[in-house]
Amino acid sequence: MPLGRSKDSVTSVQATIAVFSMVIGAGILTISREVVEAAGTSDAWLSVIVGSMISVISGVIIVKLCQRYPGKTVFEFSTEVVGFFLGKVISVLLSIYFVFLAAYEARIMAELVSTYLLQETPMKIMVVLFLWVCSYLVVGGINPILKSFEYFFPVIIFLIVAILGLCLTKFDIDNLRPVLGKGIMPMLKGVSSSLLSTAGFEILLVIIAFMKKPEKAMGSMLIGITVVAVINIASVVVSIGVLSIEEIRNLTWPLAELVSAIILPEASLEDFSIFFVVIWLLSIFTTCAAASYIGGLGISQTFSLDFKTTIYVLLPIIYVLSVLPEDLVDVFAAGDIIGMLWPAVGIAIPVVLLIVSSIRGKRRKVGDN
Amino acid sequence: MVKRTKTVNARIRHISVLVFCLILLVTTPGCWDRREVEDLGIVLGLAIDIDPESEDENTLKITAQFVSPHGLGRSNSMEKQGSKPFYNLNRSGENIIKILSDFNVVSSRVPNYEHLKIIIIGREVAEENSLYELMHTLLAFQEIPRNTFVVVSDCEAASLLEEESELESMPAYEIDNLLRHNQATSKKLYRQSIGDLFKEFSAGRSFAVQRIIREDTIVMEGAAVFRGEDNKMAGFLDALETEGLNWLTGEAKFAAVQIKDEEQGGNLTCTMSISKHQIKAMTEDGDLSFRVNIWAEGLLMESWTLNQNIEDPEILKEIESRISEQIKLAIETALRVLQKEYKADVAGFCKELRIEDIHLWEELMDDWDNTFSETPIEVVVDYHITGYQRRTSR
Repeated sequence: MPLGRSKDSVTSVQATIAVFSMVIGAGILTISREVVEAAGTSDAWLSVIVGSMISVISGVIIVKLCQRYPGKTVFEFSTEVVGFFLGKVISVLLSIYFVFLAAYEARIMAELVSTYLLQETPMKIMVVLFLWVCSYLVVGGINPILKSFEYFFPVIIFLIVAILGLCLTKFDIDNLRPVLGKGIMPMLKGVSSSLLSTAGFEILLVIIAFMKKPEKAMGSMLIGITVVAVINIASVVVSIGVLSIEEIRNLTWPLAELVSAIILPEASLEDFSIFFVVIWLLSIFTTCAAASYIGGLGISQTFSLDFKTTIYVLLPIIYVLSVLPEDLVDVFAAGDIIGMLWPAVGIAIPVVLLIVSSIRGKRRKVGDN
Repeated sequence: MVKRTKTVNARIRHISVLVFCLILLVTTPGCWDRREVEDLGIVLGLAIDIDPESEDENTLKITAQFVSPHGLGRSNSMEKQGSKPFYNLNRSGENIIKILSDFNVVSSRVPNYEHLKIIIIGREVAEENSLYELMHTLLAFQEIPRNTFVVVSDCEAASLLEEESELESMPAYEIDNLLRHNQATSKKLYRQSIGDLFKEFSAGRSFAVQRIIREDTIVMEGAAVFRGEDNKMAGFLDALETEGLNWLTGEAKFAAVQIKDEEQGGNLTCTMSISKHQIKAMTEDGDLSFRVNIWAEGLLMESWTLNQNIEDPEILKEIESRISEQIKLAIETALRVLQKEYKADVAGFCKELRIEDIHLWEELMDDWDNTFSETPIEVVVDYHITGYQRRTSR
């Protein structure tokens, strides 16, 4: 039995913050470039709205699914739903996805820090230190993880609001016009990339099992995804308004460049991007910790292993995965692979599980009669 | 006995914690990126010229202005006799990266560009080289901040970094401050930072950059026009044309407009600031044209015309319409230069077309500057006097 399991002490507020912390991470740093590239026009922000709506729908599916099996994580109930073998396969797939995600986040952290902060420090050292701290938190179980998310939450929210607010002085509404000038097609093209901007709420597949009142999970999911969606839309709108779509395409880290475009007249601070990167580490950290927790929990529950041992064994594996890509091009290619896996994890698996489970549930009821 | 082992255990634990802390103290502060501020040579300004001594015309000369800490701390009385708070170093070469790394050969401190305020580009360099390529290689040095301002000089760029100013401690600050305040004039262009320029580069638009000239002191007026197709300089706008451009784009905060009273032989001056500004693209029957609407207002500052009752609404209307004419004339002069002489749309007409009709814009975008030079533009100015500063009567 994993740590923190005995006391089902996750409140609905904590679940909301967990969704937020998991989703806001490395993704928002590059989301405006990806959506603009896919959409090709300034309607990219509309794609994000549509993408968020789709995420809410699949969030509803996940909540409905988990509420059918109170007290059980997806790794435990998947065998009940689709049978022993298929259930294990699904659990392993999910775990692998989260392990990859953790490695990706760690690597993005290292790339960001080495670009803006520590040019000389070897990337491997940064990844090692980051993952150590991460594992130290994760072995404590779900409660310390969520507690620390609660502390980080206001800091991250404040930072995002401050950045977007300070940028408004350079905001040019003409960059966002014309709205839907080339019809609805470009916007739809952007939707698939924008889906990733809310990727991460799958954490609910696990967290609902620990909730004190699982019936409140629906509200937590809705509030969590809404907050994230508002932030994503705001950041894409401000990025396009300040940087223009042509420039966003050329930037590796649009959000960080947005920060360095801030000028405070008469301020002694000249470049905000350093502060931004330092604090943004927190938000990448929360995502990495949550992903490695779920990955570790999945493997330990699937194969009935000790949770702590699993985490310690996973640590070097995550490290190797995150230093595997040789350069930034490879890193983004790896990100694309994770992005392609996401619809399977976030949408397909929950949908299949819910359908199978409801069919079986009905049959059982019929049998009872 | 039990108590004794407990204290021994506690002591061992204490000691081991202490040892562990010491180990951490020795191992963790290892920092690859440590830079001591004493070892840095902070560069505040860069000037890029064609090297006059070299025979090859492509040889660039970069002059860098370093802060000299010895000159900074002195009191004013000492300053005159003491050393200067800055020193300039220059290197020549064919390529910017090479030249910048060459500064390590002549500077006793590691050059650091994180506080770079200003990049001055000499006229010949701007005419011969693509500004995009120059800036791109400069920005490839991650250190250079996005908010560094870019100006084009009419004379040798390096000489501007020599000019000692009475008020500011070094020339780079002088230029930077000159760029920063533009509340009370419209002869200066809105400032362009590297980040702003990259927006123009990536959109392939033509753009204008502040011009800097050297008379007895540094003078900041006029603008350099760059063509979007090759990012090379097409030519300069003088102070009046720049004023027209600023009115055209609605950037002007303040200007003084003067008209002569021919009948009575007096002058009349009004201030003006733009209250509303609109460029409209019109695409009727496939014919493209633009209409610029400007609503301006201001105060009647001085009038040396005798026997004129400025409170008479008729006369006031007359003055207003004459000033509107004056503003319109300046704008049309600027437009004529931009359309016919330089063929460069630096006033953002293309943005308005994109907003109005994106399909037509995508047809025209590849050859936009040429299309722009043939497009009719109508200018409508509506000036309104809001009050008098002072009544003049003798």
